[in-house]
Amino acid sequence: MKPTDTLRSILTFAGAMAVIAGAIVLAPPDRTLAHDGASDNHGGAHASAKPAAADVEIVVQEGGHPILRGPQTHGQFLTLIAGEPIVLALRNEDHGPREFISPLFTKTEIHFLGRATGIFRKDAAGFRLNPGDTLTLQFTAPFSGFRRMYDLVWCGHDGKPGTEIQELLIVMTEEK
Amino acid sequence: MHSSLVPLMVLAMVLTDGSCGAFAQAEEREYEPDVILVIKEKAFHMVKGNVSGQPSEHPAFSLSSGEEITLEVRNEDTLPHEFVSPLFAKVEFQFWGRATMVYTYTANGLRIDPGETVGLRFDLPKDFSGELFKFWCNVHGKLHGDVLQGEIFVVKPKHGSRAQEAS
Repeated sequence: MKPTDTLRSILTFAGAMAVIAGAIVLAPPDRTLAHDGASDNHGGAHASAKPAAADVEIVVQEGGHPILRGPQTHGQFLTLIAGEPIVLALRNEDHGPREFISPLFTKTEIHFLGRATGIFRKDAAGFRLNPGDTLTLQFTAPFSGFRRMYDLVWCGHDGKPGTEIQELLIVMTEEK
Repeated sequence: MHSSLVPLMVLAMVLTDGSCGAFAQAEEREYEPDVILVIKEKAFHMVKGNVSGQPSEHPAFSLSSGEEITLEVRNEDTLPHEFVSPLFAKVEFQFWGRATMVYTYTANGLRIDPGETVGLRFDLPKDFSGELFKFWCNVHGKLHGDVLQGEIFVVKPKHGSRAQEAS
């Protein structure tokens, strides 16, 4: 091997390493990113990965009704298509913990990213979020065998049954 | 000539990425788990925690009743695995990270994808002292003889423990 070949290979290697190092610095893995949805007191170990962009957001604010945002929403009404995936972000902008409970969450596999407390009831499941927290859910809208299936989402306060009419959201799942 | 450099480059990439990952993890973790379970080679491995004194074929650890417990589960295997237990049908647990909810009539928990780490935090009621809770992976540890399972023994808090100090 000629000395020029050796020099060229060293330069090639150095160049490749510089590109790799640059790529690592510029594009860190998802898990090292900011603490999305992590509450102040607990930080997020791995609540830090970047969530998928939400199709729909449910936001609860102080003393107000839950707000639905997204193209599939209409007031307090959310429409899903059975068999289609959906990314749903739950956001608590209230001063106290808020719960999001629905029979819908027992009918399909729920993938989540963020921080919450799981609520498991006989016919419903849900999540309790601390103030400032966001939980992103990803699931496939379930088939029910009916053309249209209606589910409620209770957006109640911590420890209180969310039966106030203004705390209810309606999810309609259509089969096409 | 260039082909001889490829292994070196791969090694350099592995080393660089590994060191970044370890640094990021040390920076990210802002809690101290009482128990760390690692799922590897289709088995639970307890990396941190109080080893139970009880005889058990599977990983077993003890937790003190009346205390707030922080548990970390890492999936270092190549397949998704579950961490479910009847304990989580009895107590509410907070979770953080990325996973899938597992919800059954008798046991609740999480399914964790390869490479993911999740944290769980829960309060163990004082009257759970003396109880034994199994945990398992529904996919690989439900059948008798499968290895992906373990046991949690709930014991009375020792003197000087967090629960004792709180009371």
